[in-house]
Order: sequence, then C-alpha cells, then structure tokens
Amino acid sequence: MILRGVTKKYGETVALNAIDLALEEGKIAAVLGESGAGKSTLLGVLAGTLPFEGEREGGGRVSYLFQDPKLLPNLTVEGNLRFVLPKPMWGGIGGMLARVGLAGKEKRLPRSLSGGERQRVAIARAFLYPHETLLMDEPFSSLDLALKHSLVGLVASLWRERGETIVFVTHDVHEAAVLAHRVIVLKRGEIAADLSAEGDPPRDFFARPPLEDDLIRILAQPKP
Amino acid sequence: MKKNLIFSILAVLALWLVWVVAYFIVRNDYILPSFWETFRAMGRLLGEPSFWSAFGFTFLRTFAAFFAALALAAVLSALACLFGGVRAFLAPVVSTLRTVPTMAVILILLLWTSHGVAPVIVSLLVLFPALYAAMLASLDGVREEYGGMARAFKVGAGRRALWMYFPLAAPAVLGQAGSILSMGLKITVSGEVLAQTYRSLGGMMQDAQIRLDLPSLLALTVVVVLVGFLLEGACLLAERAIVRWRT
Repeated sequence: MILRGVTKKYGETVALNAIDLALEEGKIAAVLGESGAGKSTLLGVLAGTLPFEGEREGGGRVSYLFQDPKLLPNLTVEGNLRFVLPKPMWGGIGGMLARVGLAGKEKRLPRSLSGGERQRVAIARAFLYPHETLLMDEPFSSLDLALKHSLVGLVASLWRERGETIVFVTHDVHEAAVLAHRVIVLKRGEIAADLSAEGDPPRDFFARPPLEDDLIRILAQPKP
Repeated sequence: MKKNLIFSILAVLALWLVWVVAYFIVRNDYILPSFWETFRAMGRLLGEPSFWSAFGFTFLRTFAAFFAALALAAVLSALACLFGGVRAFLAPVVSTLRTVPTMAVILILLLWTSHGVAPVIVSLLVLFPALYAAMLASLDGVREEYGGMARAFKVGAGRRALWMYFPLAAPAVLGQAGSILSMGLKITVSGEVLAQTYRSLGGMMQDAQIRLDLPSLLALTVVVVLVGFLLEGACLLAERAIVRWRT
C-alpha cells in the first residue's frame, strides 16, 4: 500500500500533513505516537473510510481488529463470525476458533466470555475475514500484561501462518517494538521517524527489543 | 423484586384507601359511589354480553392503532436512521403530531371518517411519535455502537437489519411498548367517548354518564385501568421472553 502526499484536515486542524509512505507487503508495521498525533486518522486513510487530499494505492481488501472487540451481544461466538463472513466461508469458523483457543465455546454469548476471550473472537474474525491487509486500532491497549503477551503472541503466530500485511496503531513503545518489522513514529501529523528491525516478530516480550530505546528517545524529543 | 411487589401492593391499597376515605367525606352516591357499589356494578357488567362485545372492539381498535403505529414507526425510523434528509423531513411532522390537541383531531376525523375508525386513527397519531422516537433512539444507539464495525466488514444491509439493528433495538422498544400500548388504550377510549362509538368501552362510559350511572362509569374506568396494567405486564413478559441474550 502506498500513500503519496496525504493530507487530512479537520476544519483548521491538520491531522496528517503531506504523508508519503510505502508499506511492504506481508510485513507488520506499527504506527506509534501520542494521543492526537494522527495515528487513527492514518488508519482511517489506509482503510479508505476517511476522505483526504493526496493519493492512496494498493492494499487490496482490508480486515480490522478494533480496540473494543465490538461483538454483537445477541449473537453467539460463531454467530458473530457468521455475521461478517460470506456464507461460503462459514465452514472455516470452527477451525479458526479452535486455533485461537476457543474450541467448545462456539455457542457461547459474548457476555459469558472473559475480556481476553472476547478479544480472541475479534482476532478470529479479523483473520478469517477475506483480506490482504489487516488494520488494527490499538488492539491490546485495554488488556492486562499477561493477556497482552498472550494475544501479541497469537497475532504474531497467525501472521506467520498467513503472511498478510498488518498495520497497527499503538501508543505502547514496547508493543510496537515486539510485534512490528517497522515502526513509523507520528508527531503532530507528520512522520517523525521510520525505523526497521531485523528478523521476523515477535521479539521476546519480556526482554528489551532492539528498537525500544530509540523509539523512547524519539518520542521524548520535543518537536521544533 | 419481592420488595418492589410489596410496595406496588401498598400503592394499590393506598389508592383504595383514598377512595374509601373520599367516599365517607363526600357521602353522595351521585358524586362518588362507594367501592362496593362500583364492585357490584363491575360484576353486573362482566355478566353482560354487550360489555364483552364492547371490550373486544375497544381492544381490537387499540391493537389496530398500536400495530399500525408500530409498523409506520419501524419503517420511518429505519429510513430516518439511514437518511439524514428523511430524519430532517420527519422532525417537524413528528413535533406537530406530538403537540396537536387530541380532541381537535377527533372532532375533525369525525367529519371525515366513521365513529368506529376515528378513535383508531387518533390513537395511531398519538402513539406514532412515541414509538418513532423510541425506535429512532434505539437504532441510533445500535449504529453508534456497532455501525462502524458492520461498515468495516462490509456487512450487507439485509444481514445488518436482521441480525444487528432489529434484535439490538428491540429491547429498548419492547421496554417502552407496555406503557405506549396502555396509553393507546387510554386514547382509544377517549376517542370512543367523544365519537360515541357503538360497541365500545368509551361508548358505554358515555352512556353511563348520560344515565348518571356513576357506579358503572367508575367500574368501566377501573376495567380500563386494569387492562392497561395487564398490557404493560404482558409486554414486560414478552420482552423477557424475546430478549433472552440480555438476561
């Protein structure tokens, strides 16, 4: 997916300012930044759900993983997946639910699941939905550390099996450094840094990943 | 739950006590009949086939108005939720319907329609704004919460309506349906009184008033109140039975 000269304004406020970005196919990119840096706006532009000035090219079909699982409370776990999937794909639901650790919970309603299980359903939905690019909007931000570790590992292993392009926004430096090939740092609507790490993710969640110190330094620098 | 039931029973007993005390203060059967006299009048009414015929027709009129208003509100609130233009167009119409005097509408309708139809239409016109507002608020809530997700996954309109909008908007609407239906009964009976509708509870009330038969008039009023309670209770049970995923 390629963005050329993408600018997005909300009235007088510039959310994104002339962004040029080329995302590598089959890799995981993190968009890191503080609140109001333009992360979610960039995700909206990548998704094609926001109007903007500039050009956007490629990316194919897009799937989503939201911060809140957004499961319909009236539908079972299986029903929630059926809701978004084309009928011919319903056969793959059982396998995917087993893959994310929800075997035997197909007929349960969301209210009877834990927060982590609900996010697993959302992960199953995001990976099963036909797509070439997966966009994730702060998918682990509301989870405790143990759950975050487990779900980061799950997303990374599903990516290894499938190899789609993943873009996720986060304000968590550690999460970005563990899960991404490349970290794009946004500050006030502009790309402040674009760093890549060697090797495939995930990196050791309980160690200090190579990019983390650099990213903290960049985020701490005041913008001139 | 048990505590609430006790308080509800206490409230009914308090109302009954107010009636008994008022009767002993007024001491005039032509102004306020006694509870027992009213109770006897109700017994007499319940034994008359004409009462059940009137009751049935009033019930039918109320339900006809309610379901017509429900269907109209469902279609128009869905359109208003989808299209801003429809919402803006309907806003002044609904406001006008909400504020227009009911009696004036009945009088006009009596010139245009029959005595049996006028109460149905007036009830429909009163119920529609309430149902429309309840449905639109519910649909807006569902869209706010889940609309973005459904759009992101490009879920078709039919599937969205069937699996998302209708079932998720239903609890709020069903929660208010009881009070709206009982309001419908009240409006229908008022319409029948003014229209002097043949075979109707309102018509029987009008008849009792002309004959200064206050016990029968009060007995009919108590019947309407009790039926209103029963309708509210039935809607509450229906909500619990239909919306199982919430409990």
